[in-house]
Amino acid sequence: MNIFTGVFFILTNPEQLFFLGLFVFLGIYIGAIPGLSVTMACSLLISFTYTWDPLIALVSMVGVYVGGVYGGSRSAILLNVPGCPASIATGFDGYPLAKKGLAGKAISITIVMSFIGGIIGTLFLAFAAPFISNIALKFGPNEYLLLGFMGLLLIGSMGEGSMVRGLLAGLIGLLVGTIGLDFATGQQRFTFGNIYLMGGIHYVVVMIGLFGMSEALYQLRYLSTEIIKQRLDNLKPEWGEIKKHFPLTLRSSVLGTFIGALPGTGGDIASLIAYDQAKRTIKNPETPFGEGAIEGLVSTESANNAAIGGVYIPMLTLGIPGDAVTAVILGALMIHGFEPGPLFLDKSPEIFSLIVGGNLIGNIFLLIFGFMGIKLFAKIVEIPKYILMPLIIILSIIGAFAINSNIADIYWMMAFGIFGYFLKLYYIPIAPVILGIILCPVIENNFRRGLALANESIPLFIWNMLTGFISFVLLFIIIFMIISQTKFYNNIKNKIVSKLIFRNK
Amino acid sequence: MKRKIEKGEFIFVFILLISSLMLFVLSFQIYKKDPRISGPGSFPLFISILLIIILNIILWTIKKRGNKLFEEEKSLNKLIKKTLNYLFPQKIILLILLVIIYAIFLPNLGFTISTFLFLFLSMLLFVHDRKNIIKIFIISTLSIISILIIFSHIFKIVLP
Repeated sequence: MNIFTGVFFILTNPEQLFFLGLFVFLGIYIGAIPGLSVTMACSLLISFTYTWDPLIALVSMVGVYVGGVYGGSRSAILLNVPGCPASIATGFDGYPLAKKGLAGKAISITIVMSFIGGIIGTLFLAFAAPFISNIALKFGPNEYLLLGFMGLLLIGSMGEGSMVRGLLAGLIGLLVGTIGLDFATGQQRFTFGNIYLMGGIHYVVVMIGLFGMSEALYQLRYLSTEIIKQRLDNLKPEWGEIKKHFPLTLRSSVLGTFIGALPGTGGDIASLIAYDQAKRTIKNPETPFGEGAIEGLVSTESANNAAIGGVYIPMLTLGIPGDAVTAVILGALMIHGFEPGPLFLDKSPEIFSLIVGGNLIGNIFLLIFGFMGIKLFAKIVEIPKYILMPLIIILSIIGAFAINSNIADIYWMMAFGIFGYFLKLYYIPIAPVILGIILCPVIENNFRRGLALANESIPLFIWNMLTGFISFVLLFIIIFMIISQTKFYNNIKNKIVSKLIFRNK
Repeated sequence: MKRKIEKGEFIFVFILLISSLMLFVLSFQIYKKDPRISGPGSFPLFISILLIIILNIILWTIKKRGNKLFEEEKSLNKLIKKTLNYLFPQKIILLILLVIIYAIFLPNLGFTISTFLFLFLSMLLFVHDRKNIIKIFIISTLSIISILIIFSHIFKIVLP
């Protein structure tokens, strides 16, 4: 299927075009307001768009994602408060530029870089996904089990806190995912005789509680955070700067796409790694990094938007989400009857084209809307939290109820909201919990299938993993990921590095 | 630099550990009904064992790094008070109570009235200047009207 099929389909369908544009626009503001998140918006959107046409629901989420990742950079630059995790690194040089009165220049650079990064990431998605799909057909139960587990480990290790806490969160999610009737035998698990629990707890309800309500409760702890007002002028892009930094844009976009394509990583990791790479490779920037270097903005913004294309690759071809937002979008696809995986591109090529087309056109909308309403945005960001957060709680309640029209879902959402509040306070990341719930069927089904293929023999099960090429590589990566977090590994690494430095001197 | 151990962190992780032990027992009961490694009980059993191990590691780390915290407060009452103040500062506990009361009265009062009351009271709870009561009343009213129009009429979503 031609990549332009999706573009043509959206352009010739006014309703799709309208909703894509609308949600890119909304996504920019959702991403820009600290306390709101793209994941929260997509979680709420799943339930709000439940009865919509699946294609419009999907294109809305694609739009919110594109807009939201860019939008976070606005508050990072103007307020030194990243609107979303993908914009953490943007503030390193964006805010210093704003303090020098160059907020307009910073914003215009980020818009163009986000656009270029987004286009490059989408092109990679369009050409790489079919290739990876073919490789994924060779994956068996062991490979899927290991990939799912790797996704949990990655998303847990890259966020705040240690990998151990990330793993804890993932395991909690896996356990929540087992609640209900067993898929193979119908055995009740952790239902306590409750009819409601026999269907399991809907992951969207958990998602809204953990990302929506818990965030609102957590944000209300910091009501006294002062909002600094900024001057905004000179919003025209300087084409000379853009041309000068184009090689860096290209490098950061490619890096961002590859990192986004790893299960469990997303724009936040991509932008941090791209920033680090820019610092290492550009020795004499005009302004030092951390003090308003344009290179700092170029690398982060092109990488985090390029990562959007990358994160769709494992989600669509393997059914393994690339990050928390694609975990939500994966959920949306499943609700509407689609099955991401190796056969997805053959069974639902129109959905793949729609996502590619939606990303391409969404980035064009980003370029247009990005230059609009910046002064209005400065006003919206000043909405007090005591008004915004109770509204978020109400939206969470509406979203939770909209799934099954069941009041019990509201109570579960609130319970997970309060639980999520405690998780945040004690530095236990939230995203792996959701990933654990969503990946539970993938991990458990393939775990049990792998054991069944090994005739219920654990030694044979492990032997099968070691003797399969792909599974061996994945197992090696997982073991390396775990070992690299230990003191023992870090001590050895430091010793080797010091010996190398000593030899070079 | 490692972050400091927060108040109540040990107790929270300990509660998670107790919960994991209970889940281990429940998983074992499921496993006993169908004692196959590829059966319905094996996966939850395996996950609950991993949870118990991980939680013990975290508890050990907290105990190792948090020694000063345990020595700081000799009085249990003061330690509990400090922990509760950390967990629920600035009226957070009142908001959680408001949320629970809202959930209880929602089926009886209906969505419109209970949501309006929740918004009004929660905004009033957090506003610095109580003289803005009229402003908050207007914001709450406009919010509930907007929610009803946007969700009920435009998105056609069934409200609670």
